[in-house]
Amino acid sequence: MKILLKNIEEPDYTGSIQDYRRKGGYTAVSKAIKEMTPEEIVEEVKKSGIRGRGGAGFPTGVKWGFIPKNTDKPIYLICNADEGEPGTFKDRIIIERDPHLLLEGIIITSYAIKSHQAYLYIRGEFVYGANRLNSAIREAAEAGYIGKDILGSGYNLDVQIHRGAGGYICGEETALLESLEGKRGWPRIKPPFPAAEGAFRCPTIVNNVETLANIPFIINNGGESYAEIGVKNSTGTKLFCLSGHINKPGIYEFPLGISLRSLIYEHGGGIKNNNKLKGVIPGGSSMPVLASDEIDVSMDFDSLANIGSALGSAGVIVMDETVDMVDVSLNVAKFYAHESCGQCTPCREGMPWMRDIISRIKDGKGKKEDIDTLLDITYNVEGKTICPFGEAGAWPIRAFVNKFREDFEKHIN
Amino acid sequence: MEFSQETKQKFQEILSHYPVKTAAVLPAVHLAQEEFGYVSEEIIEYLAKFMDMSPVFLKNTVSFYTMFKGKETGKYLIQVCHTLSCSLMGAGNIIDYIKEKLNIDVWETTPDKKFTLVKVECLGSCGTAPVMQINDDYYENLTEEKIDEILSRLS
Amino acid sequence: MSKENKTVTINIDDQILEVEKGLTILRAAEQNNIYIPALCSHKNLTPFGGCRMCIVEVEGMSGFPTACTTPVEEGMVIKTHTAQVQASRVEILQLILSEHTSSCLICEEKDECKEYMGTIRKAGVTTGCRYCPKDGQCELQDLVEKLGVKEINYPIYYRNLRVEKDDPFYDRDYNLCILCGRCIRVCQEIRIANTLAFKQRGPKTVVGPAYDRTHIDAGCEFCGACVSVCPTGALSEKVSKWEGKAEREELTTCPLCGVGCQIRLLIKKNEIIGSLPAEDPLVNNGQLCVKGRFCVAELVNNYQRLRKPYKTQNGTKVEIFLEEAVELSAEKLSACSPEQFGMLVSPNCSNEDLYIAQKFARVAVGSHNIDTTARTFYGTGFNAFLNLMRMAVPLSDVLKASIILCIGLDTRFGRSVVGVELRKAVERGAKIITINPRHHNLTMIAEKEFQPVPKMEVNLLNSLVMLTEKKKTPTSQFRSKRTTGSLSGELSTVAKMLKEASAPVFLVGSEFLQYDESPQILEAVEKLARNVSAGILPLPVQNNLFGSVLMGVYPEFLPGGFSSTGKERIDNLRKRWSADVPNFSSQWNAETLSSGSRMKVLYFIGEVPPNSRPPSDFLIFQNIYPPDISYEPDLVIPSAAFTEMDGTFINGEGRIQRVRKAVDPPGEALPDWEILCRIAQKMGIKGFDFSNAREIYEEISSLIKGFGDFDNTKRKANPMICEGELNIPETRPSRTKKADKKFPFLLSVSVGEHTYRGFPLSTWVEGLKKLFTEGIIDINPEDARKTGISRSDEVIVTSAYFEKIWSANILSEQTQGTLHVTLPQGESIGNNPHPVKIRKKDV
Repeated sequence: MKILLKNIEEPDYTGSIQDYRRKGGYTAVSKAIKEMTPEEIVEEVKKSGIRGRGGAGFPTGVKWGFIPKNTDKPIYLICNADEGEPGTFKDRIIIERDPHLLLEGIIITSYAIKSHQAYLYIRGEFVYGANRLNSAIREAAEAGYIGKDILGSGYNLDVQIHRGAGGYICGEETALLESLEGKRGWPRIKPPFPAAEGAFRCPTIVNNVETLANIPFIINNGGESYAEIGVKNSTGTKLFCLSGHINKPGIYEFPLGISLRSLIYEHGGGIKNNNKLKGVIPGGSSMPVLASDEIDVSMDFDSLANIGSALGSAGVIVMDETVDMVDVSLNVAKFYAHESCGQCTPCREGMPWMRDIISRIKDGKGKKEDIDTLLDITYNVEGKTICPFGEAGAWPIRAFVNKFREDFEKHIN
Repeated sequence: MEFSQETKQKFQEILSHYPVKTAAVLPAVHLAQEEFGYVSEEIIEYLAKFMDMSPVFLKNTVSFYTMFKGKETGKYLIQVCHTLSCSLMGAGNIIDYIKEKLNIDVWETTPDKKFTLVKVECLGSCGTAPVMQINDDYYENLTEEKIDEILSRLS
Repeated sequence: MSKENKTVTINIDDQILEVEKGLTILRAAEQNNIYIPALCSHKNLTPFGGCRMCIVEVEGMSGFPTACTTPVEEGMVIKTHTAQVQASRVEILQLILSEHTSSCLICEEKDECKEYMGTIRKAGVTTGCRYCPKDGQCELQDLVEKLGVKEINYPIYYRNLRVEKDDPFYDRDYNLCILCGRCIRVCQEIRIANTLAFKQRGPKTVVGPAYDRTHIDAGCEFCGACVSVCPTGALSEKVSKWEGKAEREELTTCPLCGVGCQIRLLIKKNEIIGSLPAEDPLVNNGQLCVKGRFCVAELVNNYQRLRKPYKTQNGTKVEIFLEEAVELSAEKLSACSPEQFGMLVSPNCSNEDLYIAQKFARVAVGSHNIDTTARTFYGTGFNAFLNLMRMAVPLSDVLKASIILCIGLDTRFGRSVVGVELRKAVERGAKIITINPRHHNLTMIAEKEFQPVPKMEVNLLNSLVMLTEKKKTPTSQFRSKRTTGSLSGELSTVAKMLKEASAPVFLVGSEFLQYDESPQILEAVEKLARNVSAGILPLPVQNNLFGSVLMGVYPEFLPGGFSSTGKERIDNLRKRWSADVPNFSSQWNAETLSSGSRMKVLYFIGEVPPNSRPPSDFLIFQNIYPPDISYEPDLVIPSAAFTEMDGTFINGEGRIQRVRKAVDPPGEALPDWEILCRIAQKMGIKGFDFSNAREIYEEISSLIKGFGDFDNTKRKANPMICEGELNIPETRPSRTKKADKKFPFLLSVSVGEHTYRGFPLSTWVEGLKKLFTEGIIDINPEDARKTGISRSDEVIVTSAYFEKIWSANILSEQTQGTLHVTLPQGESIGNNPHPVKIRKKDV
């Protein structure tokens, strides 16, 4: 069952509007705009059960429903293409190789939430992707899918690419809004939530690229048939990103609920050099690592949460037996210290201390108490910060220490 | 110091997509960096005037983002990812190899001003690690041979 | 009001509270005296949520919401001090402390240590609380005490940032900064000044202006709002750095310009250690400018303050007791005829001082020869300026105006509180139009700007007057002849804007006041205001200019602003005072001081007229500082400063404002009125037996309408009422020529306006020397290039009448072909503007 990679996996698919239409693209837009009311679309998406693919997994239809009724302010749709979670590279492939799939999702969603202006916030490094999208927008506009009076319906929509400029935190939806408004990417205090007060203080929906790319399918086939894919509470297919010590790294699309073991050994071709698996991060570097005996888990939102990790962005990072988890956690801690925005104390001060303590341990200068201090910091940061970045930095470190404590102790003794 | 007519037009076009002028800060700084190569104090001052905003506000925004360069770099800015997946796949060796090959350290520029080497965080291309970006382009599945070939192609 | 609309019921720590809807948990708790620790929160600023000290537990909410950002909701159950919350606060505080030079905070010996470490304070770098200017007043220190933090689990990390001391008035040590962002928010939200911002990100985040500029270069107004809200020692006032905490405060009125800001004097023992803005919503609303915020303590505490009277005997200074000074004055004045007497009294003096001064001149000496240097400051435009004051509207009208026309106004240093109101006005959609021949700080917010070249101001204003005439003027010949096409278009636009505006307000600053054409300029402003029904608020430089007219310290004016030529007015005064008051017969005034005939006694109260001693037999100099040596005063009497006396001022809007005694005057110094009363009594004159300012005020109140009670002054903002005019020669013989081949540049001159009692403030306040620069000539870069002059070069400026040397400043905002210089009060170049030529002085 392929929804997102269906076109991309065709050998000579170029991603042009002709190719996309040849494969049945833009039929969903016609259906949505000509045959459905915005409310019906929201209802269909609610029925599909799709949850946000950016990492937090919030039900998309429910989110759309939070837009205040009868607001006299403009409503904005923002496509979050600030893909930056280490281990994640799924949005980029959609952007670069099937941009019209994303655009179709954006158009339908904009129509559904009654927005006439969509911004596509793409991370600054994706220059090729931004160019690719810009030409796709031009193609779509020429074909009458974007712009004034779309398909003769009287509905207008402008889609504007907005490039980021380097900052992991801008993937957090309220930091993204600040960045879009031309400010520092500092997350906002919530409430108010973006649906009530987002971009330019107007109602705003922020959706991930992959989420939006699923929308045409839901419209074409109905929410119920989408809900039949996957497992309970985790419907649909998902793009899994395999990287690290694995024979066949890359993007794989499977219904949610596939086992992590089969993902690694069956589809990913197993561990490089026939080494043993030491640990695997299932959902991008901010999610807690799983030990080699935990991989019989079903890759869905609930199952991973049940074993103390999370699906996150489904960036699966595989680490073999040669890896020292102190090195890995230092790499991760450095990343979060570098990317902390500096707005609130626990994160600004806590992340560098985690980095420094792990670094000290790595250099053989660690003290016994350091391991517990490290754990203490993770608890002091967790839940005490303005945005989820606190958890994103604290959870993985805690898991590395708890599950691979012997690696840390080795450096101290 | 002034934007070319073409850039000014581009800027006006961009502006038409936003309800407020400040929203065009990132696009404008990108334009400035494309036109001038970097965004120095003088350029920020110009841009602030150009956009009718306080230079402090502009600078405080610009300093937040890692892609905006305060000073000139080499013609080719080599940005090697050293985040987890790339690191697992040997980004450290790649960086060492480039350092040795160009005889510069990280954050340094070759004397001919051709290359500047920097380390960056995740470029979002983990499945093809190790990865680097030179100016706007990505180079994936790096090996020493590949680096030799890529660098020799750049003039 | 029904409860549903206005309040919600919440439960904080088992107390059931009914609180206003929309409050945050923190504010609701504060209003009910429930303590929740907080560092980044500030009552006047938007919530930031950065420090995380105010985390609480709320039933039904996950994690730990911050009290400062979470609004109360009906039925909310909040726990502020659970064991887990407290433990988390301690941990977070430790994280803050790990990057703060906090060794003293957690030192086990800190209590013992304090007793033995009386000195060693003025350290270059703060390494612990004992070496910190905020020791004892620090919110972080306080919190460590309250939460009982005894140790820090992290090593202390010193950021090793350079302590920034380059700017006047305050130092910045960002090693002590906890990034609470209060300074930035106050600068952005309250002052709308945008000088400060966060720079960099993550652990590298720092506060400061763009790039590593000094605050002077970054356009800082030095209002000190950031210093006031800093919870730690990161920002500290230079002058009072080591003074510690004030023991008490006194509310008074700032005398450093006509805005009349309400200030809180900070007092320790018998000394003013600082000044802070009062929350008075009518005038400055919790804001101050650099003068009121940073200059007061230095101004009144300078070691050169006069403490004892002295007389000059055979060229030497002989210190005497006050009693002898009073006797000597009485003796000289008793023997002085009315025509041979002259008194100058400062418009910085209180109403009570001014009233007694004129009563003294008129009754004790029988002379109308009393004047102020305001006459020389405003020159030929004085009557026109007073006319504007007769139309004055309250500053609060700015809040209602849709268009504000600012004429010759700059608000960066002086009047920066007005600048704040202007920026607020812009935020709510008002438009600012400026007319100023010079560069000024309103450029950033101005919708339309006019920078007329010297001598074109009147044309420009008259064009606007014609364009706004209610009746159509048949000819626009004037406009087309004198103004260029685009300018004429702009003028039409502005005229249209003004005509269509609801309640426009004109603010008049001091840029034009010394120009030869100032009367015509001010008259045109008046006409324009009438045409478009605008309110005018002239912003006088002298804080009590209004009072000086109302008290009658001019030959032409009696108390109440009545004309001294009116016979019945004089008769009335005679009756009220039960004393003889001469009929008006004065040709003397401040303008004629040096040129007029030799006087027998000259009496200067708080005035230091320019140049050297005017011709006189006996000169009494009464002030808070000694005069320049060239004055050779015969008698010097020490006065009390405004911090040392009771009384009232009247600000530019016409409000009566109280001055309150905060400390005793130094040595034998006394308020001016008291010295004058003693002399009058010694002379045997009746009607001077006042024992305090209140009694004088009551006499003023009985004479002039609308004064009311001393403790509850009735006079609100109100235009000035004065009949008659000052006796000013209609037009000066004009020698002004246009620039020509020989003298190709037009030089305009302004006069340094920041003075107190005749002295430039920068004489006594060190930091102002960097802000108020005099004798610097502004040159357009193109002109500079042509003449080979660069910044700081010595420039020889020559006209047909003078040659001067000033230091060059290259300024792109200076119009080509024009030059500008600010001179100390009294220094004059004759015609203004003035055709000159310039060249670089050879080295």
